[in-house]
Amino acid sequence: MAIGTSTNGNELKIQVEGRFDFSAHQEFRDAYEKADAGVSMYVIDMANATYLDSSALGMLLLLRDHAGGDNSNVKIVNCNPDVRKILTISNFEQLFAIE
Amino acid sequence: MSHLNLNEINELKDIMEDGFADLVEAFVADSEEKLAALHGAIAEGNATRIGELGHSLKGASSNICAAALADIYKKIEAAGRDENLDGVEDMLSQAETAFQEVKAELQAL
Amino acid sequence: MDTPAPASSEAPLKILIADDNQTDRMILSAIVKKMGHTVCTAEDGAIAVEQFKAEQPDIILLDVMMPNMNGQEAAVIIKQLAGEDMVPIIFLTSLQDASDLAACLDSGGDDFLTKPYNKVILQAKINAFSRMRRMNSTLTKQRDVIRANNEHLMHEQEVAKAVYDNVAHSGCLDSPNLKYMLSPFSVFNGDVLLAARKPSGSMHLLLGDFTGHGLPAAIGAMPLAEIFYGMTAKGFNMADIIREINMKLKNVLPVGIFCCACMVNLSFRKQEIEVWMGGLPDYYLYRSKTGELENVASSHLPLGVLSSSAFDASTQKFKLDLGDKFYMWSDGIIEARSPEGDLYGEPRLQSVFKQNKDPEQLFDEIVHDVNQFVGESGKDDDTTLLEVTMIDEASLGKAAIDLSSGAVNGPTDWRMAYALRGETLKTFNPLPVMLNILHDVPTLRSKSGELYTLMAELFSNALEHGVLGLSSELKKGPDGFARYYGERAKAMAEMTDGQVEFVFDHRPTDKGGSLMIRVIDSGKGFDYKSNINNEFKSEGYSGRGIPLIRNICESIEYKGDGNIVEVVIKWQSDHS
Repeated sequence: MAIGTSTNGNELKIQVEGRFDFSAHQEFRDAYEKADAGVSMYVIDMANATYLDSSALGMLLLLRDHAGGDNSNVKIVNCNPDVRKILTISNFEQLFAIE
Repeated sequence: MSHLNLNEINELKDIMEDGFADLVEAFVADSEEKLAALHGAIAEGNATRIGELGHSLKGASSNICAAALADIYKKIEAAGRDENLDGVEDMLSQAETAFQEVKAELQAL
Repeated sequence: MDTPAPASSEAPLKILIADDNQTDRMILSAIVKKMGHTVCTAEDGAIAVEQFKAEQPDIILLDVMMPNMNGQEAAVIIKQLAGEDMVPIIFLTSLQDASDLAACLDSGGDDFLTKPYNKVILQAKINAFSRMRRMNSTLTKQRDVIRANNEHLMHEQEVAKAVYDNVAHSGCLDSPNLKYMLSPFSVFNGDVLLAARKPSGSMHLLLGDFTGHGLPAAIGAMPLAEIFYGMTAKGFNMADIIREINMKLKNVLPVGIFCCACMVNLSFRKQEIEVWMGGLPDYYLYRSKTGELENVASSHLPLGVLSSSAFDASTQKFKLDLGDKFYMWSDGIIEARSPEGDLYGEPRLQSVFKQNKDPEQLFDEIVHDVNQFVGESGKDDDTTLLEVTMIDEASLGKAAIDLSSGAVNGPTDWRMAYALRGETLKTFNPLPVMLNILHDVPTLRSKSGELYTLMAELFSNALEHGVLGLSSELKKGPDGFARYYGERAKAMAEMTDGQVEFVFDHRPTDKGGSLMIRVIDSGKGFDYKSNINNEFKSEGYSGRGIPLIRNICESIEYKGDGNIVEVVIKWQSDHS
């Protein structure tokens, strides 16, 4: 499970590789906490993510909270069908823009 | 021809410090006792005992840096282990001669 | 062995030198003492063992060939005596053959030193083994600490489980219309299963699946259960309860921890099920007449995520026939794994339904199929399953409301008026509050169910027929209910200054007590005088539910324009 980050102006993109589960906890957190202060948009790229569990959902909620809660701008993109299904069951499209 | 390798002896003196003289004394006493026992073992033809004594004397001589002496004992040990006692009396004589020489060299240090 | 490990690599060790040759012992002793360590010696294997017991050395230099007991035999005994402690044994040998040297190590030695002795090598080996010994000692100590902590934690968890069971045990999971499978350690895998009857007779159910396992999940389950049971017993409706639970969890749980949940209100009287689902996979509604399955999906986020203002308590409603079943599970069923690692999955579950011949066997068939699939690969603790069947309320028995809270001696001679107006009338449900006050009268507690039903009918009549002016005629016909509730929603939105007032007057009698309830609505009323003769026709009065009220009350009387109704309830004291 690996996390890659890239910054483009005020947008932070976080790439998730492999299984997104509890073992990714610290890495994922570091990815957005250690980013520059000027970041106002977040994009989570799930192209290479194979699996998502409830602790990953929790991590997304933590990111949203960090990004300003109801005022946050967090997008989740490139989800494969399995990942999409989990996000749909949890109704996370009510909190995140999902593409 | 010296039995004792001077470099090794100096190293040994270094290790033993004040105890070197005691070591020499112990070696001499031990060897004399075991040589006497070896006589007896050969007389009895006790191959096992010959092997054990040869082994022990070999180790002690090697410790005191007397390589040639140790070699003679090695042959005696082999004779005992192989239970081939031909010529073992000769080996014993050689050993005794060499031992006396080593003893003299040690006491001269 | 209790030899304390030296703190640094320079701390002196005690080294046992066992060799039958005096010169060997002398030289080795000199080398070892020069390193700063202390020495004890032995001339044969037997003495070496005795010295080990007496002196408890840290490291042993052991000659292989010794009289009495040789080195290898001594090594075996010493290692046994040392037990868990690591006491390195370095064999002293003139053997050269690799297999001979290997045999030395096989017998329990940790290393060997060949003659002639090399001082530098011996010193290096002693240092290396000293480090290993200290590391081993540290590991053993850490293991012991971890073991003690773990036992402590296990004990704490047992206590937590006992406390949790006490909170959860007042449920009615053993009702005849429920079948369930729940791991006894569910509190530690985050699964919660609660069931309770309302005073009105309806049944509330809640299946919860907290993220995370163990204590964090158990902690979240506690306030959830308290709220569920407390509010259900008081007659609060499902939407209020789920809203309250969400608020509590949002406050109590850290961000990122939440509870996927399904709450159900099963109304036997209306033959209807009301469902709120957040974050759980699809559930199935089984229609007994056709054998068909309907999917019921989560439309909400899990509990504990949204603030109160953003929370949506809207529910889905389904009409049920007798024998229809609703299936609820945690994701442990769908995600159960076989020993080969395959997922159980929805298709397998659906095929159990398809192959079923007798609906009463369905629950057992599902359990059997899942267990068979999972096999012996650790029967998953995360499997929670609940089957809810719509049955006749009569076969359920009276709701045993837990009302152990409340004073023993209560007020018996009192009067109270409570009126709701305008916007508050639209949004606030006054029944739990009023019922709570009535509970203070000890003898009224046992009539809680009847009182709730009664007050609910009176309030509903006063609000819908009185204030909103809706006619019960609207309920007739196939689309009757939908049309009625549509009109009701419209009328509620348009209402601005309606009022419903409850007046309670309780007096003691010599045998027990008497409670008068008067309900006054701000509507136009109706012509009750000419309808008195029709009051036993339940169809004509389906809107006003009069026969129902008649069964509970001593008397019922309309007054004013028909916008005032007065009922009297009498009973006798139990203390006889």
